Parts: sequence; structure tokens; C-alpha cells
Amino acid sequence: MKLATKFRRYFLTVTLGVLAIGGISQFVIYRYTMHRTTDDMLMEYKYDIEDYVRKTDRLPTFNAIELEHSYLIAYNNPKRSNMAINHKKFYENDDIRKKLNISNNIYDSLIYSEYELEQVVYRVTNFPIYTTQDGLSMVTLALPTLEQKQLVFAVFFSSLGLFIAFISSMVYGVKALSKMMRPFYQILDKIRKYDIRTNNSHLAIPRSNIDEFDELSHGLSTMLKRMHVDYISLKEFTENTSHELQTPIAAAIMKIEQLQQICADNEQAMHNISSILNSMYRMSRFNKSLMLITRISNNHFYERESINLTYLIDSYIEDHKEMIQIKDIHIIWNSKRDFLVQMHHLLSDFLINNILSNAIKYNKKSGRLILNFYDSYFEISNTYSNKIPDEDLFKRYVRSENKQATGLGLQIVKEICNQNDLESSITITDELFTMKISKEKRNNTTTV
Amino acid sequence: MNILVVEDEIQIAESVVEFLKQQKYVVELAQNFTMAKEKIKLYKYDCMIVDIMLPDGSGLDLIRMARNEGVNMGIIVVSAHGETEQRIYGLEIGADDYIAKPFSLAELNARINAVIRRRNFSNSDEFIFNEIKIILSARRVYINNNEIILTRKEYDMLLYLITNRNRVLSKESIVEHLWGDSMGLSADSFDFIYTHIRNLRAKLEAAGSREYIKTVYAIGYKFSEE
Repeated sequence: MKLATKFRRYFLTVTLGVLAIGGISQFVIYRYTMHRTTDDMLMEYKYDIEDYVRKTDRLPTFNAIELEHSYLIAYNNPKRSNMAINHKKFYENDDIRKKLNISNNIYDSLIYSEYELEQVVYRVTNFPIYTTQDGLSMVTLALPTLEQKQLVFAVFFSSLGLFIAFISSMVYGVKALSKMMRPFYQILDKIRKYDIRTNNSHLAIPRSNIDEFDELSHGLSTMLKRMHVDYISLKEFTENTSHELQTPIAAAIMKIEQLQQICADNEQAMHNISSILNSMYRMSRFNKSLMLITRISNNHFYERESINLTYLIDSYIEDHKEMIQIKDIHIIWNSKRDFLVQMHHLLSDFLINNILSNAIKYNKKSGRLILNFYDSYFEISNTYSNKIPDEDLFKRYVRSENKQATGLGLQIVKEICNQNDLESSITITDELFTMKISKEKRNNTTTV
Repeated sequence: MNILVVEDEIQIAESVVEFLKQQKYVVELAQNFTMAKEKIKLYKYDCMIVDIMLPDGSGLDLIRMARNEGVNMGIIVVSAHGETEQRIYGLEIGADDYIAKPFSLAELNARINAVIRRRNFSNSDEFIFNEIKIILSARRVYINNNEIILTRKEYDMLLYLITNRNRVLSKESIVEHLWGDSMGLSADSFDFIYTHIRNLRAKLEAAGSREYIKTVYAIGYKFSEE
């Protein structure tokens, strides 16, 4: 998942959660505050009324305009009207109030409002007052308060507003993020295209103003530089070693040859000499292949000319016809046409030699060698005798059961194809080993 | 026959010189460019075997110099395997043949013989060994003046054996001579050698030749009279 998508998803979840919790707590807090305000006003009125009654010993007459949205309902002696308590006693003794079962509670009540023409929520409180003239009266005070519905709407719309603000900031944030991430993708792209063989180990990414990316780029550059240096020194080592090995190998082969002339009568000596000689020849061939590969990958054979591979194959088969006869291999051309490539002439020789010598060498007695040539690709298939290892055959040192082979043949084929815009791939079925060389260079391939 | 060996690697030079002496050549060794240059100017050689890489110069310059001065000798370029272009360049400027290190002495012998034959074309077109006569230019073989028909590889093999007669030739060296690098040293290629030898022997003996091709235990074959 992309970082921006992940970020968006995460952000949305968190925002929704925050808004939900925020909305609820907002609702609770608003309601509490509103109620507190209304309740305070109710209390003010209550004390005013009580104060008035205490001073004048009369029920107040209320100014209608002043209490436009409030109710004042006075009942005459609703309970225990005959209770003998005097005015002073009533106000000074809380016990009496308790006995009268009068609570100080303030509660919500729906009352029809003539102003709003519907039932609205009022905060209501009841309290008793005492006058000598009227005895004990119960006063009910009610003040309209914020409606639940209105409150929900208010909270919902304010949350929605916040949500939209969050989303737009997120959209901007994601845009800014992808802009900020640009150096990262540049680095990624460079790494993807990085070829250890080229000298361009520096990532060459313009400095961003983000320290982390600059550090990443710098760190990677250092790493790639080191890798390149290691690669070069390893390559040089291989080159030098194989080059330096040639002379001692040549000298050894000559000395052994001389030795075998002297020891011709000694069977045990000859047996040993034979093993040494065989090893020396193998070493020599291995060395040659190794040198060839390094030279190909060093682009040593850069001159190109037009070469007809079909012609080369014909001459190879002609040149090895006795071998083919002895092994009784049937050559089958399913489709034959000229196959022209632009390539150094030595490389085309190496290429065809390696493919065909493998196809003959690993073929079984009375096997088949099938050639299919088309405009954009050709396939050379052969029946095989030994089990073919499952590993990546193009990798170096993968060998069949034939202990004499160096295992570098396919690597040479691959290297030549790589250097000459050709694509090489191998398919193995129960019966056939097929090498396919095609002209289109695909980007995505399973084999090379 | 006088042969000049220009080789700076003492181990290889020693072996080559020793071997060529065994082959009854008169051999001289030059271990560097300067020495080789002087020798070419002073003496006459039939063949020069020259390594491209010399401590004080290039073997290619020696070839160019010899050819510019009209020296008539066979020249075989010895190259490290990697120097493919250089040895081709060597052929272009007048070398007769090239051989890549590491090479077998028998192979070198075959090359020298071929070069010398080509150089003195008129008086050595025929190669005669007892009842065997080989017409080199036409690649024909006669036993007691009766022609036998050999395949190309059989002919190459016979010539290789006969050129290196009395020497034990390893199977590896024969494979390299017949197919170069292209076949590799597979069990197959040894089978091919065996088949070719068997066919060659049969053809020679059917035409009345004696059994010259001997099998040498573990190593390979030897062409000899004994």
C-alpha cells in the first residue's frame, strides 16, 4: 500500500473517531453549560421572589414583559394548608422544608410555548413560599432552555464543518506529502535502474530540502560506490587471475606432455599423468570461458556486423556431421529462414558453438535436435539423457552430471545475448531442452 | 630446419625448445623483443614462433618488421587466449598461423609442419611414411599407391598422428586439435575419438597398411613403427 493511501486511511479513521467522541462530549458540555445558565437564572428569580415575600409578606405581581418566556404559577395551599408555621420559621428552618417534601430539584419539562407554537423544553423548579395572607403557596418557575434537537443539530453541523476542514487539510496534506516524497521516488527509481557495471555509482539526485532524504541518498551513494569498487576489484581479480593462470597452465601441460613420453611404459605413472592432464585441460578450458565472460561483459566485442546465424548453424552442423552421425542425432528443421543479428563475428561464433555443442553433448544416443527459426526468434531443442538440475541454469557453475563440463557455457550464451539486445530463455519439458533466443528485449522475464 | 622461439616465459620457452630439439629442429630462443630483432636481422630461420606479449615490445611489431624487410619465414603467433583480435591482426600483417595458450606441444608441431609445408609448397606436397603417402594439397591418402577414402576428421587425425609420430598423444590434445574449443572435453568427445580411431585403423589395415596406431594405456594414442 502506498504511503499516501495508508496515511489517508489512517487519517480518516482517526478523524472520524475524534469527531464522534468530540461531538458527544460537545453535546454533553453544551447541554450542561446551557442548563447551568438557565438554572442560575431560575435560582436568581427564586431568591428574588423569596426576598420580596420575606420583606413584604405578599405574593409578588409579576411584570409580564419581564418574564415573557417564563412561567410563574402560584397555587394556593396545595399541601397542608393548615400547617401552622409562621413566616419567619419557614424561611429559617430547613427542616420544615424537608418535612414539606419540597426538593430543590430543577428538571426538564415540555410546555407549550405560544411564542414558538409548539412544545418546548423548559427548565422548571418548584418552591414554596409563605405569606400570612395566603398561607403556604407553591411557586413553579420555568425558563425555556436550549432544545435537545437544536443542540444535536448544532453539534452535528459544527462537527461536519470541522470534518470538511479536516478533509481539505488532508487533501492538501497528501499533496504536500507526495511532493515531499518526490526525492524518495527519485532515489527508488535510480536504485531500480542502477547497474553495478556502469561507473555511475553516484545517484545524482538533486538535493531536496528534506534532511532524511538527503541522508538516504548520501548513504546509498556511499554504499553503491563501495559496491561498484568491490565489483570492479572482483572483476579485475578474476581477469588478472585467469590471465595469470594461463602461463602456468600452459607450462604444466607442456611438461606433462613431455613426461608422458618418458613414462609410456609405466602404467601406474601413465594413469596418474592422465588424471593430471585431464585436470589441467579442464582448468584451462574453465579459465578460457571465464576470461571470455569477463571480456564479453566488459563490452570488449563492441564492433558489430550483420551476421546470419542460420548460416553459422549450417556450417557448425556440417563441421560436426561425423560426431552427429556417430551419436545418431537426427537434425530436424521445422522452420528455416535467415536470422540476421548485429553482432561481433567472434561472439556469434561463441554463441552458436555453445548452444549447439550443448545440444549435441547432452543429447542422448539416437536423439533429436530440432531447429525452429522465425523472424523474431529461434528455438533449438534437444532430447537429453541426464537429469537436468532444477536450479537456474544460467547461473554460473551449474553443471549437469557430465563432470567434464565447466558449466560456463550457458553463462556465455546469456552474456552474449545481454550484450547484443537479445533475449535468451530456457524451457525444459520431460523430453526436450529448449533454448530460445529472441530479438525483442522484454522487461519482465522469468529467466534472464 | 631453423626455428626461432620468441618467448619470455622461461618455463614455456624451455619446454618448447626441448620439444623442438627432439623433433630434430635447430632451435634458438629469444627471450625479449630486442634479442629477437637482432636474431632476425642476423640469421635466417624457416619458422618463427612469437609470443605477442613481450617484456620490451610487441610480437606483432616483430612480424611487421620481418615482413617489411621481406624475410621469408613461417610465422606462428602465440597469444594469450583473450587476445583474439590481436592474433587476427597478426594474421593480417603477415603471420601464417596462430595458436592460443595453453597449447599442447603436439599441436604446435602440427602447426609448424603445416606452415613450413605451405611456405615451401613445391618440394613438400607429398608426405611419405613407409607404405603411406599423403598428398597434402589435395588431402588424399594412398596405401601402397592405392587411394583410401577418409572423412575429413579421419584425415586430420591421421595427419596429426603421423606428424607427431613416436609421441604419445593424449585424447585431450586430439580433441583440441580436431574440434578446437567448440566441443569441450565431454565423455562424448572421447567416444568420438575412439570411433574415429577405430574407423581409421580399419581403413588403413584394409588397404594393407601395418598397425601403426597404438593405444597407450590411460592416455591416448601413438603413431609408431615398433
